[in-house]
Amino acid sequence: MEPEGVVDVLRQLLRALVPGGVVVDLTMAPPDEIVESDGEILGHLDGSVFFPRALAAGAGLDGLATEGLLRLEREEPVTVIVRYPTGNDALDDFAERTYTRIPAALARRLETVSSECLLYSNCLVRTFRKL
Amino acid sequence: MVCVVDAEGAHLAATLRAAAFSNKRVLEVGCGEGRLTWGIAPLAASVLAFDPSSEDIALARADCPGELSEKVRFEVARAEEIDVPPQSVDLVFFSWSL
Repeated sequence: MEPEGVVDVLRQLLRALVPGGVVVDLTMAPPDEIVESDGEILGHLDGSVFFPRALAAGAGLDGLATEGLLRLEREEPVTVIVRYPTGNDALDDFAERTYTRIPAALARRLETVSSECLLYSNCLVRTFRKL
Repeated sequence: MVCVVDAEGAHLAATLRAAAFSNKRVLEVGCGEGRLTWGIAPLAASVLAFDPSSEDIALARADCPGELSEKVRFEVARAEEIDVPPQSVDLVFFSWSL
């Protein structure tokens, strides 16, 4: 969805929540995701278009907290690892993403990797309470 | 998709640390193929899970363990299309969706 519509959607979904209910938000967060194989960093995905969109939901929740509708109770960064059998499997998966870009140099390297590739994604898990 | 996401279980573990899901009526927004749904559903009273991808929802329905079929419901919808009664859930869970 478009970032400018996030707050309206959040308000709508908050109406479904009982008073004192909880919102758990899992968001991907900068820095850019790292691609690695055999212990060597092959490159980074380009999240310059993706992250502003992903962070819009978090910003929407922050705005509702500022309004006094929610209270942030907890946040925890976590790294999620995605494993691909080969570099081409990783490329196929990345190609399905709408807003993440694959730098050309990284794509060329991945085409030559026949061993397992790991993608390290940074995530933020936040907990809010409805007031 | 030929990959394994979070084989270490770090994401699910962090999610379960984030809130008490036990006996809660959960609304999950952006459930995908149900990767995290399977981790929270055994604890929850119920899970109503949405994703805009009909392909992902079909996979989630097909993979739903029999013991969870009574308490998990998957529906295709974008976040802005979700329409549930006021004050009908205890926990809203956004998973990389908005």
